[in-house]
Amino acid sequence: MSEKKVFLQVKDLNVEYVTKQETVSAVNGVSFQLEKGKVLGLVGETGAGKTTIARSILGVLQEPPAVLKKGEILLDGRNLLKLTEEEMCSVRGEKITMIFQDPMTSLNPVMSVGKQIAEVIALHDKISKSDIRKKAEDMLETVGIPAERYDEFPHQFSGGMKQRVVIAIALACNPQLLLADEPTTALDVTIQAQVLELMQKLNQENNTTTILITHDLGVVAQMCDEVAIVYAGEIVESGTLEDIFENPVHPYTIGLFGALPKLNEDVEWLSPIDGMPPDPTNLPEGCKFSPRCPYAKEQCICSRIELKVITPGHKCRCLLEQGGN
Amino acid sequence: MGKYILKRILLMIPVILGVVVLVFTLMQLTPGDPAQVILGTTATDAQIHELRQEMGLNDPYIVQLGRYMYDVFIRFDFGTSYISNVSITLELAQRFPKTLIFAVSGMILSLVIGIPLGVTAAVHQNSMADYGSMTLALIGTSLPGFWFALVLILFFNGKLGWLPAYGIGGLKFWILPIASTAFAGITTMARQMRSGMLEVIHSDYITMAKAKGVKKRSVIYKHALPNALIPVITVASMSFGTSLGGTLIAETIFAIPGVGVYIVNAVNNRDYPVVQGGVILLAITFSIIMLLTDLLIAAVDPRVKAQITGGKKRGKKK
Repeated sequence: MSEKKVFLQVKDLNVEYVTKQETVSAVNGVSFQLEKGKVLGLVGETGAGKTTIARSILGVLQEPPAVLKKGEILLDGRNLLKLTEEEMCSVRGEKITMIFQDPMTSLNPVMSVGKQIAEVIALHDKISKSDIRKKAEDMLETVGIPAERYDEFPHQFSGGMKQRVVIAIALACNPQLLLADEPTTALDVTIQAQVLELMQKLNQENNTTTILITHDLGVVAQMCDEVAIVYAGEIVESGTLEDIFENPVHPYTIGLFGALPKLNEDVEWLSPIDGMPPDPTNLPEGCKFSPRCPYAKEQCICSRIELKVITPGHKCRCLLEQGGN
Repeated sequence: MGKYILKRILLMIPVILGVVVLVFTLMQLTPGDPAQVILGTTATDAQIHELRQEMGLNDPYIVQLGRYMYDVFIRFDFGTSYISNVSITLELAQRFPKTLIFAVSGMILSLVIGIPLGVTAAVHQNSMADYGSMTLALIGTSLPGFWFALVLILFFNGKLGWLPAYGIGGLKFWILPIASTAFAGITTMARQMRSGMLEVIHSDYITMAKAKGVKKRSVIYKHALPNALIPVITVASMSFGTSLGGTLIAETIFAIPGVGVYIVNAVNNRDYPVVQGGVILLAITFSIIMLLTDLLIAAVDPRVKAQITGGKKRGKKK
């Protein structure tokens, strides 16, 4: 893994949401790296901080209330957090793009979809007006929408088509890094499959590095090369797809798989992980998962647990695996 | 689109007819005899009877209504005032332009100053600019208009002697009245604009625009503003319509012969034809403004336009 060139590196990222009443620690020391062309799945519950990680990379945190406390985000060796706003504007939309969670609200309702695609092309490609329109129409066709619908508005599109427009915008300038924030959550299953297929195709054709944020383990299995499990703003386990799916070690990861209903068994009740994620304004001192963990010991509750390598490429933040086994 | 405009104009006819019938009937039902009002308390029964006959007040209701509608719609004649015996059409024609100056200039000022103020406050939320303009806006909306008008008079007329205190004449006479009425409009508009803008700024498509690499300025003016303006247009045109009905307080304080003072005096004096004429004029102007507002919103918001044109564009799709 270390011989190959690291394309994206996130180091010790900390993000808080600060309001007068409280401080929410959304991301607490997240580090990971990714090679060119790989697909990383960020998996976790709602509120685990996945979206905040993606927004930090793109530099579109809602500030205030968000505060990026510390960390480094290196894209091809360049620290994105050190760039000026103007430099960042030329990175966004061209080098890094993002597919947002909710297609229903991600498009400007008073601008035609064609124009919204053309806008990103006009910003980053130095080509003539008619070429811009041509390219935007091509993008529509690529995502399976007839080019005649260029001048129509978002309200004339179905949810799946809107998501495809969002994808067309994200892919219009051949990004090097694509952040897909739950691209299929708002879609029904048949359209989910179409969208995933499209993303997969584009990933293979353009060798786009992708971070796929989701809480759907099925989507992860289909799409990802590597997986990182996020819990309460920390990566609790990371590794290759096989590592995580064949040999999960963190109790939380095991719990996630345990919560999946099995089709071949006749079960009356689903088996969720007991308890709730911790209050992000008042996180536990030690292991964030310890209040819900069936194996929690004294040490888990008191001291901070570090992410340790178990087998090459497979890391886990749990004493059980690090000490016991 | 043309078809829609035509339909809306045709729809205005029953609305205005309805208003005329309603206002006329209400005035018929109100106690008090116009003949008595005109002749005063010293008139004899015979005099009153004679005048009633002359004015057609002894005719059946339906005949009177028909006559009134014929006068209003065919001859554009609202009758004459019971009190002053002056033609109402003439009087309204003289007064309405003054009210129009009030309304239009107030509207322009509140748009030109209020919108940038609100946008700035929203964009720099929780900054000094935000607190400053919102404090000003709070003062503006909570201070009574007449108080502000009096302060203006005291200062610019009493203390500095720069501007006339009341009456009509050249441009100078208009400055204080317009300033006093526009102030509330500006601050209301700024508050509206700020809250509308804040809502839009936090929406997903603005983050999306940023993610595309659009510069901050363009995000605000190209993406956020058109969306934030939609509700503001409705509010602005409502207040414009209301101020066309006369800004009573300013007209009274600055002694400006506008529509507001005219109608209120007529109500106090039971000068029914004047009240009728005034209400009908307001109904017509209000319907026109609402039509223009709807067209404006349709021009800004494609969703509304689609409703209006019946979603014809979709038909092109196979």
